[in-house]
Amino acid sequence: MISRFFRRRINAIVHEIRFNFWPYLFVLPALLILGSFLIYPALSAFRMSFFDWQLLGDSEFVGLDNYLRFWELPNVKTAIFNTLQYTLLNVPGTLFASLFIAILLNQEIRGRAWFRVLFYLPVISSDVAVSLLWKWIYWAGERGLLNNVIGLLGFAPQDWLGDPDLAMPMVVLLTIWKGVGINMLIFLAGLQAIPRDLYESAQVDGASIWGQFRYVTWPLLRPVTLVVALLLTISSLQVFTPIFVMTGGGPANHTLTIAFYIYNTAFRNGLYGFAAAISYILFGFILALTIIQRRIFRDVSF
Amino acid sequence: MRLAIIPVNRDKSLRRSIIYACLIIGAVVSSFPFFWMISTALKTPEQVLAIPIHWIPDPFTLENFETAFRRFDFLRYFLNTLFISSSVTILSVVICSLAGYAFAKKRFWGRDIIFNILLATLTIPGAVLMVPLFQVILNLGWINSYIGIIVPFSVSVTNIFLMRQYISTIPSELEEAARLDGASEIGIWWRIILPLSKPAIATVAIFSFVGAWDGFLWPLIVLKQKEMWTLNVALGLLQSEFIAAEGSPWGVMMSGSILVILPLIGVFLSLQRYFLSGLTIGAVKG
Repeated sequence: MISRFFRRRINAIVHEIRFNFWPYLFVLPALLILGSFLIYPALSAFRMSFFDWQLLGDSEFVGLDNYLRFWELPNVKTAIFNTLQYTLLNVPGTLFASLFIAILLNQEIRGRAWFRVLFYLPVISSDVAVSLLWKWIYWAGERGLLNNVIGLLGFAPQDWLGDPDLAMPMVVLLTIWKGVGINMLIFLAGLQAIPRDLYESAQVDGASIWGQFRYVTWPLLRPVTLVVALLLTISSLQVFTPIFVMTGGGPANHTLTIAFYIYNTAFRNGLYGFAAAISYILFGFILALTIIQRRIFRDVSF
Repeated sequence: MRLAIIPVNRDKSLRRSIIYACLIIGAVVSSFPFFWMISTALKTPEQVLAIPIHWIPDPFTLENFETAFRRFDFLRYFLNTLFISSSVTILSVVICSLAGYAFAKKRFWGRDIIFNILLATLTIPGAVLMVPLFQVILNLGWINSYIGIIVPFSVSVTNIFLMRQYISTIPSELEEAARLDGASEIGIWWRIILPLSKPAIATVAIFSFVGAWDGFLWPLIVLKQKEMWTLNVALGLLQSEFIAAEGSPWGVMMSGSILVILPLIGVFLSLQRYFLSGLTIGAVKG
């Protein structure tokens, strides 16, 4: 019975592909590439995480060892702590800065297009180039631009990227500077969807500017804010380029992040199995966040 | 009455001035670093090192660009990056528009399942792919080759999604008419669908080009040989060499950074319209 059912089903599919093959031909290149360079690697990372993986030659199966023992790797806890620190600074920082600018740009002002372009310039610039640029801006001593600017205000020069307490906040500052433009655009699209008459009736009821924000903008913008927060969190958990270019994880591992750690573990130390296990833990974390976000969304949009 | 009106107006103009002040401060913070980049790139090494700092180069010099091209082979890196980004763009437009067309207009068994699987892959973070994708590329013998950078990133689900959304707004009567006139399926895609989806193609092309031009981690892992490097890899890895070679490396590094950023800003400014439309499609989609 069952086999007949399957046979009939398979026959139907074969028939379908034979007489309706164009659509399959059209999606084939995309599926081949996504299958071999996205889906297959993502699945094989899972397999790798159970092996003492060798790129060439035989790998030894080690069961859950990589997951149980990765805590013992030097600095892995530091990397997790730093990544969380980066995320906790970057997500609210970028979110509120972009929301603030989006609200300003949503007022009746002249030159909106110009402002939008200026705020978007950092977004369009390459990560490596702006990381280098900010490394130069943060340069220690009297030649650094930032030291000159704070010097005008009467502050002493700092070794921004060399000071263990300052290095991570300074990397975050660059990311906020670079990320504001795009998140501002997403917020702006959300703000424009809020009906004007809601503000007018709030004004009639005597709501202050803060009141209008608190009782109209913020609640109506909640879905957009959640999307922005989630996208920012996902990208923050994977931060790599600014770390590589600006600090190399230093000073004394104070800016060592998980993505940089994975890169080092795999490509500098050759511990591919460990690297795969750590990436899978990160994947699980990000997936959980995405699912939570979907849940919240289902509750919000009725 | 007069008394009531004046404070309101004054209040309003004060509010507007505060808004403009905040926006101008923000715009300065946002763009001043670029001024500093250009200024540094056009200074002589002595000026870069001068204390107190010179805000504007005097005299202007292209010395740093010359050093970047002559001593550090930046022309080669520029052409490498251009080749990789252009190839990714062309492949991406062809493959994603074909797939988008099929997902938008064709009925076939498994269409919705396949499409949903593709959407689900959007949750796979890039950092997870680092190691296993390297193994795939190694098995294919693509280490230290351009194909190893171009092919894996020539298709993105977001771009397929963008194409599908746009193509589904094209009236099906046009395809039907062409089919009655005896056009082949490829012919319909080439003569009807592609010309009518120019805005979506522009958006996909820009995203692919910019994405490939910006790429760092993957070229860093795959390209072993110096002559193969992209601009970003060169900038990222040559830092120490610059510092060793020059009294003041920052002029050279900033001129290299300009070489990376300038084409991106050029593409952005000339095709801004498509950029923003693509972003809003992405944003609404969530």
